[in-house]
Amino acid sequence: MAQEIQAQFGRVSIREEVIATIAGVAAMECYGLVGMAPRNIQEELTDLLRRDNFERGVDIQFNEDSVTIQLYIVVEYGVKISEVARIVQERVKYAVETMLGLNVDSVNVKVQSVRVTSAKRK
Amino acid sequence: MIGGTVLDVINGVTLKNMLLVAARNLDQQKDMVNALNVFPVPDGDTGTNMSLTLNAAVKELERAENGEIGRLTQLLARGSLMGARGNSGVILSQFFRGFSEGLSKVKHEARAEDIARAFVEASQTTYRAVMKPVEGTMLTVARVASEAAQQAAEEGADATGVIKAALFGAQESLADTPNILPVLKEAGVVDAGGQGLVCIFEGFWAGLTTSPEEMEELLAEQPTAPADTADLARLSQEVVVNKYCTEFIILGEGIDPELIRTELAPKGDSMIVVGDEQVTKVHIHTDYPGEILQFCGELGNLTEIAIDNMMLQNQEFASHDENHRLDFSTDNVVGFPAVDSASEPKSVGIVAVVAGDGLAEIFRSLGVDHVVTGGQTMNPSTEDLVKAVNSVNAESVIILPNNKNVIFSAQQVKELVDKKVGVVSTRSAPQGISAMMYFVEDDTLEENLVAMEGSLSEVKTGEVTYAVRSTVAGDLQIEERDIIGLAEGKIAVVGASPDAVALDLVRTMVDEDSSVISIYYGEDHSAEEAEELGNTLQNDYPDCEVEVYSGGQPLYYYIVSVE
Repeated sequence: MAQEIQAQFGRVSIREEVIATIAGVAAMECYGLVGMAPRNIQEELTDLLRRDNFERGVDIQFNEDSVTIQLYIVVEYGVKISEVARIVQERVKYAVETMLGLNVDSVNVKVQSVRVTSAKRK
Repeated sequence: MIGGTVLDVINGVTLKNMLLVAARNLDQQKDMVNALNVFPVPDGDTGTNMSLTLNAAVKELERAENGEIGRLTQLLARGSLMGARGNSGVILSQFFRGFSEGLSKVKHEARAEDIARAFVEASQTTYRAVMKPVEGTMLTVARVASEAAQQAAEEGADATGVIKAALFGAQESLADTPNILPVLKEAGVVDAGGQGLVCIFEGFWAGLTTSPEEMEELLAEQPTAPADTADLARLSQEVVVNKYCTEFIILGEGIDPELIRTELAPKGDSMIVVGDEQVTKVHIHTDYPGEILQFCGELGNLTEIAIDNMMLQNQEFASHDENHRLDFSTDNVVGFPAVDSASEPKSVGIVAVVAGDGLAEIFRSLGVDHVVTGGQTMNPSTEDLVKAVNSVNAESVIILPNNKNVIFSAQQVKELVDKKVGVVSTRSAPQGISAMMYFVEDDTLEENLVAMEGSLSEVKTGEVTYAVRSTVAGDLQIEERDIIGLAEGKIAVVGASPDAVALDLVRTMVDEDSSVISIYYGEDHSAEEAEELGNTLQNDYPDCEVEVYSGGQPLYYYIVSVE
């Protein structure tokens, strides 16, 4: 699937993977988020085959003139999860809207798991 | 050395003083930190977010029964976690979590190596919660400070010396941030979060030497700006017991639901634990979802985690109730006109978001049913908009956000009310006014939306404000406090006086198709000067109609529109 934008000199179409990559990279830059969770078994398999899969854990839905983004994330134990989720929503929306010029209808965040780093257990 | 005080060790009282002074210092400096945002319009919030986070943490310290250091830092970590606001606030709360862990074993006196360990642990904890750490930010400043602290401790410094080393390390690292992160250099600033951290360390240092009398004075004048105390009051509503509805599934092997039940029961109520050795579902209402997750996380992998704040849900319900009450009441509630249910409902009503009394009046005179105050620095929440939409006696409602930052909240309203809601994506007050010209009350929502959206391209918006700090935009060199003119949100003109900038700005916007120039002057600007500007423009452009209005908007000397 691709989203099309009518520009002055013709159409611009943007593939789903492009939107997903931009959303994924923006999300991964957010503090407190430590990973994207695979959406399904297929994606878990792709993970084994590809090193840098920035689209991992990102779902894009196309609406009439906007997109809806679904993110499956892993957060670090000990951060304020509600605040991290809010920041992720804000940044992903901003990145996709400014870089691609698409309207983002909503960014839904699913916290799939929490990582407990047991680096030190004295 | 400040005050000449040298402390070999830090006790609980001193630590508390350090934190209180740090919170105080950051609160006083937050505007300076805010001003380090990377686009020079007054809307940065890093300083405010960090200050709110630290204030929430310090407030928690009041609960300390005794001066034990381990207990104090535990409260510090908890308070900062609960109060974390914004990206910088979340990082700060991680910092304090690590800091607290570093001191968890200390009872009454922290020695130099304890303090150094706390700084190191704090820095390491901040790096743990991010996938791609960006250097040249708060993370770097904290790391360099911790390295300096550790080195000082190894070289035999006392506790005071370690804190001084951390402060100097942080200051040096902060000054270096523009060399590491190009975007900072381009804008001519240091990193805002790093600056916030330096403010905190400065407070630590000053707190070491604050006498008990000075502390008392300082605490007496504790209340900060009114807006913030309101925020803090909201943040500290922790009286509701077991407010987090926490639910998740544990996947593992050899899970013992009975063990989970006994362990979790004291931590909350409404507990349900069901499942078997491989899959167990847990549901509990608790005040400590973190502890629940930590405990269960050690039993297996957690999945489908959902944590809802039931207290906030309650408040939402409460406010919905209020709306219902308003729907049927004919009393005029202050700030909230009740729906006039006696009159016939309109088919389409309008809600507009506007900053400034003058502009609000203009929108009302154009037929807007309800004006919500808001704009550049104070965006209304979705809830404010929901209330406004509900208060309009119409079957469907159009929202004019009049600011790009409000469009998103406005769109969310659609799903939260029973009425049909449409949003015209107006990004400025002039666009909103232009859209109102195309509004026809008897047409349907859809017809109006099409006509109003179509009007947006016909108006050009210019804004005149001041730069909160120095920067470079394109080939324009801008100094702090310079007056800048923005055309369609981009810096186009820079100068020394609002009127000269407004004049130049309008010149860049007018072309042969222009016919109307409207000027809305801000709350801090004089009507005479605005009139004079109007006259000058009328002389320059005899073919155009020039109109001058009092907009009353904050921060912007002028908002101009050219149609």
